[in-house]
Amino acid sequence: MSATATAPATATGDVFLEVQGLVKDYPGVRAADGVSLAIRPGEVVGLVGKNGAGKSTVIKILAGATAPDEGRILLDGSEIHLHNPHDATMLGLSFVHQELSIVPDLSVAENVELGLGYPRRAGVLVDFGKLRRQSREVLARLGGGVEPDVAIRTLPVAQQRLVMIARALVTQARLVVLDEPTGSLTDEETSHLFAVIGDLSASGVAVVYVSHRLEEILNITDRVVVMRDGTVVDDRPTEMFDTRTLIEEITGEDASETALQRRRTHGIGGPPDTPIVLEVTDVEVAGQIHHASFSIRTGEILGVAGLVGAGRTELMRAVFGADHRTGGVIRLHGEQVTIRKPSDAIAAGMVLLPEDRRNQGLIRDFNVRRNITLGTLARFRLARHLPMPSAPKERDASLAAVRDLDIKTPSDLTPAAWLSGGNQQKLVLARWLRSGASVLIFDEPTHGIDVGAKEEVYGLMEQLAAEGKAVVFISSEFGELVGVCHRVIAMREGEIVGEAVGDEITEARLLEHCYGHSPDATLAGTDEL
Amino acid sequence: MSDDTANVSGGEAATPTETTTTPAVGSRRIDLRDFLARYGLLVVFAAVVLVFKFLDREVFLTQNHVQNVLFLPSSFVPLLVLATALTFVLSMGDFDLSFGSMVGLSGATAVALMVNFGQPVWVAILAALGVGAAVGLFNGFLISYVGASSFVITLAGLVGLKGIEQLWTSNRSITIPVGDQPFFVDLARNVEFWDLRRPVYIAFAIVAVAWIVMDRTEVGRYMYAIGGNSEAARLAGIPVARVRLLGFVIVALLASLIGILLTAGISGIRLNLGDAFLLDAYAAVFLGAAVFRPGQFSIPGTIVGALFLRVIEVGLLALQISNAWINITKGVILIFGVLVSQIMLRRK
Repeated sequence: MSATATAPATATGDVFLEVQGLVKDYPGVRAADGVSLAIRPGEVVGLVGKNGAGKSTVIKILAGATAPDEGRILLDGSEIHLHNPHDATMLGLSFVHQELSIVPDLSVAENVELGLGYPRRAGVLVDFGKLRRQSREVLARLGGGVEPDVAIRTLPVAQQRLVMIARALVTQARLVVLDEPTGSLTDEETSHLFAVIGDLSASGVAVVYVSHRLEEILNITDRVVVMRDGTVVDDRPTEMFDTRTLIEEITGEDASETALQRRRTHGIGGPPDTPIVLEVTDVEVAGQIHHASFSIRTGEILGVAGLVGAGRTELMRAVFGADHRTGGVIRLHGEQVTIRKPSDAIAAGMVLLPEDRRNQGLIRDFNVRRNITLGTLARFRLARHLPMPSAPKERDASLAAVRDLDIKTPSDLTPAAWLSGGNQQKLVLARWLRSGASVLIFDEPTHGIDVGAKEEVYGLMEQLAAEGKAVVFISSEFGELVGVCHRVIAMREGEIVGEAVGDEITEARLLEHCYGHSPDATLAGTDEL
Repeated sequence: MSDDTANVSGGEAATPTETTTTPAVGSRRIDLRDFLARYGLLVVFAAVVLVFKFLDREVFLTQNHVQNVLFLPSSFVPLLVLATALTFVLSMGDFDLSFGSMVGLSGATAVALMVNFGQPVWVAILAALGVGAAVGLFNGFLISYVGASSFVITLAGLVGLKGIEQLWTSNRSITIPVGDQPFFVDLARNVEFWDLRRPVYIAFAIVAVAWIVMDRTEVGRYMYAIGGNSEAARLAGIPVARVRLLGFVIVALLASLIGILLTAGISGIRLNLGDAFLLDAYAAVFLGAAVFRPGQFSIPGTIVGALFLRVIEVGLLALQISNAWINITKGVILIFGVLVSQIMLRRK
């Protein structure tokens, strides 16, 4: 654990926020089962646990987004009732949720202060000059060069997240809860954020930091609260943990592996000597991708590394036909194919599991069964030429997929929206599992899912490769590329700038490609334990 | 993951359905709420029917009343069919405001061709349906391929199609001379079976087919998927643009059919023939979204919505309540029906 710029503040003050015995039931699931927590001014508390462990539930209760069935919340010793998110904001509790709540067409400044009361002129008119100055000020504290005047929808997700964090700063909150805040930030943006957390802490603001990135938790928090199955199973100063013990607490079993160890124990080498399935030549997307060429073989897991904004997602979406391609040739099994829209790609045997599974992957109102059969509905016909799905066939297929992928759901008729992040990800995969696709593109499949579910996703990719599928694996976490891939291509500024094969794949090597020079060794925590 | 697939049907006891050990947290009260959210409107509907029956024992819902008043072809058939058509586009998150004008344009096309241009009946009918198909394709192309707003495009249709109708009819009513075009006029005649008029059976057939399409076919599933999340649907390989276009074609074609049936019923074209049905059709569909699967548009829901509106109308008419109060009552029922179901859902 390297000491970082953040100065852990003195966590000696009295507890100002306390939750006692929170219980929350959802249909079929007890999400919180007697959770108690105490927060002191200026401390940075890490909150970790698998998806479904109850972290989000506790946060939602504190944010006033949902009411607990039992238990109480004490602020400065007296009980408070949070009826809605506004109550929480007014009491100084601020939240940056994992799924950003932005208004796409409003400007950055308007989003920063949305709902907080814009500065006024003559009582009724919004003072845009002042609004802009105020936003510019907090944005400057975060770095990242976000301009207050642009429409927020034009920004990449990483910068949108910074805007949401700026919003928390504006409210001068006593507690800031950051839920997976670094999910899509670059290392530079991340270290800015950590500096901001240090500032907040030094000025007496408590920070609850929710993350699956354990190095971050170990580096910047004073105390770690581990949740499992709706209860707090551990709550100790951070010094008493290391990655291994933390993973053990989170999973509840002895399961720790660094990326390289994983690579070794799974015997992962270079790409197999098999025929090329997908060959992409000189793909162009106006203003985003330049002359990108790559290929992938049967049974290969090809990683795509790059910093945020490097064009990984854009390249793969263009290959898949989801976005307009201005040039390039795509060959599948040696034959040139015309791909203008996703259905062309799917017909040719290529599927994409999108980065943003909530907005691009799932039909949230559809139940598990209908989500699974959606992409291959024509296979479940009552009769071959009758385009009517047969319920028993759909049921059998979905139950088989639920079982194969171990999707945790009360039934296959449960709405997809009720599932946890990891299970939603598996649900999107389940859709394509038996589709006969020969190329599967996974875009950040482990984003925001817990350690155990991540390992399951790796296992599934390996299994698919073993069955002869070609797997493309886009990830911002270089560690997981090291742990899983036969070969990794690196992208920077819309171009493929490097490749690492077999044992060459190390985090240092990938970082080197992505930064275009030898990386600052302290920057990304390249050390494995 | 492939080692035990043989077990699929036999092993259902071991499926994940069984693996959640947490007992159901639900209670009687939650069940009651769920029931009210789904069927509350039906209960109100039944109560309204009983009240009308009590107040008007002699006539209300007697065989004669159902045949000649409740299922009056010139009122009930357009409402039911247009609401059914509208269910398709609304379920995909689109709007269509042009179908009222489409009804008029189609009727005018058919009648003007027969009366003013002496064309045979089959040409008139095909031309009317053809105009409908063209309008549907036009709307659908601009909306789902070019990406225009369905609200704006079909609002333009609402105004523009009426203009074309005025052009073709010189803004005058046209009457088919008595004895002419027997086939056309017969479209709206009685059939022996249960003494209902032909358009009523046509409407029932359309609704039945629509129900099957929405609920039981791949296209119907795709429509709901598009309404749920069109980007996810597109990435799952669904031809989103084509299916949305289909929705607009369905609406325009069924509106054309209604135009033909209405002009057959009155042996001619009257101005503003379809206008009255625009808002009632929307009311029926939204009312229908408050039953069965609350929040979701469905054909059975639309049937209930259309029947409910029609029952209120004829029930109040029979009690000699003024048109003003009938309209107010419809508005209140719509708000009430949608609210009750949403409140029940939220409490859950």
